[in-house]
Amino acid sequence: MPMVAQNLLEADVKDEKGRVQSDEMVLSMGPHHPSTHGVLRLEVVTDGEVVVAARPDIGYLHRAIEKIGEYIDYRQFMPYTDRVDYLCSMNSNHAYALGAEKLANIKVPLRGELMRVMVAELNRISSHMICVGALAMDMGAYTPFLHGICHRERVNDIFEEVCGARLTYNYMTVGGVSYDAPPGFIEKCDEFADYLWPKMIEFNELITGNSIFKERLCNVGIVSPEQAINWGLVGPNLRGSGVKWDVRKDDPYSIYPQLKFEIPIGDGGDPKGNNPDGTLGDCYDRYVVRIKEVFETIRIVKQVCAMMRENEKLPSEHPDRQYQARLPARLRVKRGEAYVRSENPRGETGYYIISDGSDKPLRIKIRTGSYTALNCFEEVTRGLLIGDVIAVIGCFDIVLPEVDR
Amino acid sequence: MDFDAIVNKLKAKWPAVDAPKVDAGDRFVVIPTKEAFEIFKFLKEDPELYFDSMMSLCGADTGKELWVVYPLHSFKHLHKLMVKVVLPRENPEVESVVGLWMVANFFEREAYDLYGIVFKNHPDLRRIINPPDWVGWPGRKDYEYPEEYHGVPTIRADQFFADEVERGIAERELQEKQLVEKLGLAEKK
Repeated sequence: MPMVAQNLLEADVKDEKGRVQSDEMVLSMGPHHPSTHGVLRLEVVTDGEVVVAARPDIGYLHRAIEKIGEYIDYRQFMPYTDRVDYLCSMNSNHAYALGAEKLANIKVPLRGELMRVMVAELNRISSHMICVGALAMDMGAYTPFLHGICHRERVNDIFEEVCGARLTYNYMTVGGVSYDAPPGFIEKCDEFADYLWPKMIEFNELITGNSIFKERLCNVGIVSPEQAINWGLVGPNLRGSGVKWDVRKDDPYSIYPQLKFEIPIGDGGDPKGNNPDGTLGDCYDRYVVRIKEVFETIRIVKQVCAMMRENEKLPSEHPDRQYQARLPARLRVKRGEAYVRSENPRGETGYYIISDGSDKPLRIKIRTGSYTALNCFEEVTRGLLIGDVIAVIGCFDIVLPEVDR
Repeated sequence: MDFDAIVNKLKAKWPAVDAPKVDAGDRFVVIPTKEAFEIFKFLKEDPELYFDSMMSLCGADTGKELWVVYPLHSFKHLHKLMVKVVLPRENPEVESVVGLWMVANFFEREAYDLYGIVFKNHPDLRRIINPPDWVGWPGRKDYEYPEEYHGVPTIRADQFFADEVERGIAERELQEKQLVEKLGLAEKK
């Protein structure tokens, strides 16, 4: 035997437990990787195919939105909230509007609230469509993504009629919404809800029960309920871990107390549940929570349609019929600070606004669900295979503009 | 527990805790910086308070002093509390709470990145949103934007282009004038 090979064999390649030690390699995933859902760079330390540590490197999309907010009027900040999370601009608008209204002590008229909840819930559907579709595409199934995009297209058509835009809507304003509902709006929403329910059942048949899809997601990236709370996971990610918490229900805002809907939670390991082979808080639970949430959202849309029909019967001068509160041209807010949160598709979005008594905020801080999901990313992905890291990114539903702001 | 009950409970142990009156928005508690960590530990572990979740962590600059605001929430008792720490602009330092709430890790790194607030005993305190070699604290009110970064000018591209065009026009006019003088065409005109 040659001397070199002999040396290699006798070299210290085993650790104290007798396992063969191999070299660790650093793999730079991103920032332009198709499955990182934006400009996310992951510094993955790998041992063969196993991930030792996956550290997120963020900041590629930082546009200083919070700092810009310190130089402009309260109402001028609204278009910037669209860009915080472009997949659910309406929900971002709603979150910021709630904060500004709490500080300025403004009450929104009923029709404004109805329009807000309607468009926010429609936007939740279109955002979840992208999430589950893109997740299935990352897992190797291209068709569900096209199904999701087709359903999203209908929502975009409705929004185009409402406000003229298809991605960044800038529809809500402090004190209500910018425009009243266009003619035929309620019928279109009703029709969309009727259309989507059977289509979602079809979507479920297509992918949710698929055994390859389940193999990829079950028992991957497990987060226990205690960890989920301590790590600050919010929204569907928190509910996937079995914590029954929804800001719409438990800390309600707008007209949500009047609406009837369930909060779906993950049921991994439960023999009667959707995920009998998995563990509570795995990737499949987080996926199923989103699918169930779409059904609940369709129920909400139907209820809001009925409420809007009731509202239409009122005379047009009635205060409940107005879509916007009457406000002065220059909005002055008392000195104070407020933290408000609202339930976005990506979880609890909090706006912390400090006012110094002038017409511009002193500081706006945006707390988003994707940011805290990346915070615990290293812990969740430790010991997984490289392919499963992609599944975890997809199931956390990370949107990078929201992380970097 | 409501806000006043929580404040009274805290005041019994730490008299320096203050809850100022506000005109609008949420009420908050200002706690002394030195005892911050013990108070947070008490807030998290006391069975009556049990703030098991941190909703957000926010650094802020008022122009005179720096703030760190911790909105807390309890999943068990469903109550909320905003806690504030006031820091000087020179050498702002406060104890890190990553050991209590893991979610504070990225939030504290962001507050350090934007405001230069040093969180003691943080496991990995470095810049997160800005590049590692960035100079200054961009969130502060007196921050001056740098003119270049690694030799790349940070002036707006169209501004830069307009300057180029102006310089080009001036140069061309000068060349034409020189040509006219050289050929002696000026007199004929």
